[in-house]
Amino acid sequence: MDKRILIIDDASLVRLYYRDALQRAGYSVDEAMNGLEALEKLLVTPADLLLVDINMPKMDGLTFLKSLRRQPMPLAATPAIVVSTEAAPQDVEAARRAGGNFYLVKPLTQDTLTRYVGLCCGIKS
Amino acid sequence: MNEFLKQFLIEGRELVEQATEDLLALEEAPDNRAELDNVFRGFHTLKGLAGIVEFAAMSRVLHAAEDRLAAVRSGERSVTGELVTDLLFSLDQVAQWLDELEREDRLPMVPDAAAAALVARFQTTAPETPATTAMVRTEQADWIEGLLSDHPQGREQGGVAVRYRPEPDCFFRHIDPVALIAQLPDLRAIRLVPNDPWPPLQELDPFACNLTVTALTGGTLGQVADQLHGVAGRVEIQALDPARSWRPTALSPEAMAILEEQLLLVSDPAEEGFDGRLGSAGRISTNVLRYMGWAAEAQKLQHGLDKSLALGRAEPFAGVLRQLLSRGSDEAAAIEPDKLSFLRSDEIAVRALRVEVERIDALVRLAGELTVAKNALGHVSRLAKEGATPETIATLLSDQYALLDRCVQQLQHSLLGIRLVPMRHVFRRFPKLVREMAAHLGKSARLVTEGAATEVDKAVVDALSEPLLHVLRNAVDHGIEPTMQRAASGKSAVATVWLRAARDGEQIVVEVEDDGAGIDTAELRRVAEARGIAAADEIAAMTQDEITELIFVPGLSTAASVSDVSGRGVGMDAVRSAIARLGGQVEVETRPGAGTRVRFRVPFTVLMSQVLTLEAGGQVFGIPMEIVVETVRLPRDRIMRVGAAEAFVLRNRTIPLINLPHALGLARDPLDDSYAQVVITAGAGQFAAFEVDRFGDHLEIMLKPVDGLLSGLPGIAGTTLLGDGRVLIVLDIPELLN
Repeated sequence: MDKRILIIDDASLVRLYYRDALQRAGYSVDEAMNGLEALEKLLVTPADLLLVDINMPKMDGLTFLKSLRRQPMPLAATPAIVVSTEAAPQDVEAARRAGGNFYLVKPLTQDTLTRYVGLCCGIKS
Repeated sequence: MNEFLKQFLIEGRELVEQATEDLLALEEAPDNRAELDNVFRGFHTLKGLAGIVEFAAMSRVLHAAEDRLAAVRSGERSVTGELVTDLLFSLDQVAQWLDELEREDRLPMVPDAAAAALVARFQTTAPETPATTAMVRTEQADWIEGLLSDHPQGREQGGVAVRYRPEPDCFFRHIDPVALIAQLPDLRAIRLVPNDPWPPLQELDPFACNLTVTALTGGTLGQVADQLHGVAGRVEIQALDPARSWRPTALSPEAMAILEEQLLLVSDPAEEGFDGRLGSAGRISTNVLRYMGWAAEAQKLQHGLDKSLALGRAEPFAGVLRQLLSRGSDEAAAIEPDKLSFLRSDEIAVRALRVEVERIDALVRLAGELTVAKNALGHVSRLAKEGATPETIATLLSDQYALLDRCVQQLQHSLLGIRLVPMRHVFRRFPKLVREMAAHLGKSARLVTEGAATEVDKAVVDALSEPLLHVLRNAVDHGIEPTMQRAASGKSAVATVWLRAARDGEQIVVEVEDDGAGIDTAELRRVAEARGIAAADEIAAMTQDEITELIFVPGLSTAASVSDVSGRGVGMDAVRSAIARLGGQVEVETRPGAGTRVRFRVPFTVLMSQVLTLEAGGQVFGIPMEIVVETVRLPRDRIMRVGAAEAFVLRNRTIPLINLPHALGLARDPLDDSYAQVVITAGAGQFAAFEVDRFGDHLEIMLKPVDGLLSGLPGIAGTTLLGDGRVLIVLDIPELLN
């Protein structure tokens, strides 16, 4: 199927946890430690879906999403799921305003993650 | 009225309007396949609705119409003016039935002969097919799904699904429901379900039929309909198309959640990076649909997305998505009752406004912001109690004031937005009307509408309907020449009338233009003189424009003949005063031999009004700013008595002066002896001046229509609350003058 997911999170354990689940489900996975690194990677290799943490050094998730949506098409139209520990309505709203397509709250089981990633990529695993 | 009928009424009306529009578009482009499909789909869906509520006459008529359209689709027949007229006529009939349903609260009783007469319009050659009298459902229904889950071969093999709900007393009519169904050709499955749970044996009434029979046969629709002809009113028949994908899964709650979120994401076009949002929302949504096995829907959404990306706005993508969401929730049977009651309100269609989800969302957001502002005020009051300095309090208060001010403005803006409806609401009935009027007068005319999507306050749209009708009638009756005369002057035989709407700042410009003969100004001069409207030399001195203005003089008509379409050039004066009531103006332009254009300029909304406040007899009143020409401090010696009235001359114009406190029956305050405070107004085509005690402020207010006891009083346009809690009465000057 060859769908490429980019995990953007500063915590290496989180990245490992997601990568493990997604690779077992057959996705190809790449990682970035912050928004800036993610932008650099995306400019070179596009992704089918982004998993974006909010609190990250250098460039946080919301700033990243805002600048992503301002990039030229089709890069700007890369779907992005925000994954965050915050669950208050204003956080969800902020993520939407920044351009996030969906909001998942940590902690996340591997099953939940693959199910949503599957839905968003149109792939049943 | 039960829920089904209510929904039937709402959807039926929408479908009739849409089908009317599609039909007119088809007439413009008879070879356009897409338009034909639209029309066909419209009739088909309407017929389906009629079937659901078991409105046999309507089903019958629409079925016949649909047959004719099917013949056009298959190329056996072509789109003729006659066919369009017949189809329009049937839609008109349906609309009348719907009105009757609303009025009488039950399905109309349509005599068989009446329905047959309508059906006959569509049957020039082909006899009525047997299926006509059966209720044919269009949508996949629960009972079909139930049948297919027991007999899955029907999904692949196709065939015909039948549901028969015998009347309880059918046995006394010599009907054996099960035997009847058992005789169907190539019967593959039969299912008997009690309508009500079987009662205990001793209470069972063996003579009442308590069954619903569903069956699956390999016969054709025609065979089945033939066989069940005798019980047509109780039978539903649905052909199962094996090619059609029976949707395997409903949307899961997760899928719904993701799709809903995409709708929210694209609902705020003001945000930066809109293309990116839209594009990503599109990718995710189509993926979710594909995941759920809704491939066709995914494709449809993709089309919507492509269009939206090209246009740079959320529609039509958001519309398609909303539709899918509502369907998804229907099928998942996970309907939240609140959401549903919002869409299917108890109000009947005419009085209900359909509000787009994003407009509601904006209001919800505002409510949130207002709460924040409110809480901040509580905080300020605490600070004040704790002894904060007045400067600090003042700063905080003025910040909060600014915030509240912004919120209130946005709230007003959003509410106005909700009241906005496209001009289409009034435009859509006119093409048919123009055609019929012209036909009645032995002329041929077509109406071209432009700017039907222009959004206007609902009140304005409603109020424009009548004046527009007048002007259109005039155009067809008096503007357009008879066909022969048109031919003689080298014009096309079919006259064109344009109906245009456009937004111009805070105003809406609506115009009716025809390519007829133009207003006969020579005749107008002659009539004006004969009627003593003005002296002969005055009339001779008038410019063309001034002469044209004469059509607004009450009772003046140049129509050489009187017809029963518009009478004697029906009151352009009435049109002008109707438009003036909306705070608008009417302009007429005419070119001899080339046509006439009547243009209305009306405010975009009637809700927000600019008023000038003034004091009269010690009370404060408002008058609409749009009719105020100027305010003057007038030396009393310039006021002349004219009989019982007063007047004065200003810049060579004699203006009647009305003492406002007096006119309102209020005690007169002691006034300035040497000067009068006068406001000059222009409303309904005439100047008038009012003497007042003093002038107040210029305010922007939200005018509330008067209701209750006040509504009986003439001369009041509305009321609003002033900042100090007093009620400001806004006067309706044209009405006062009458």
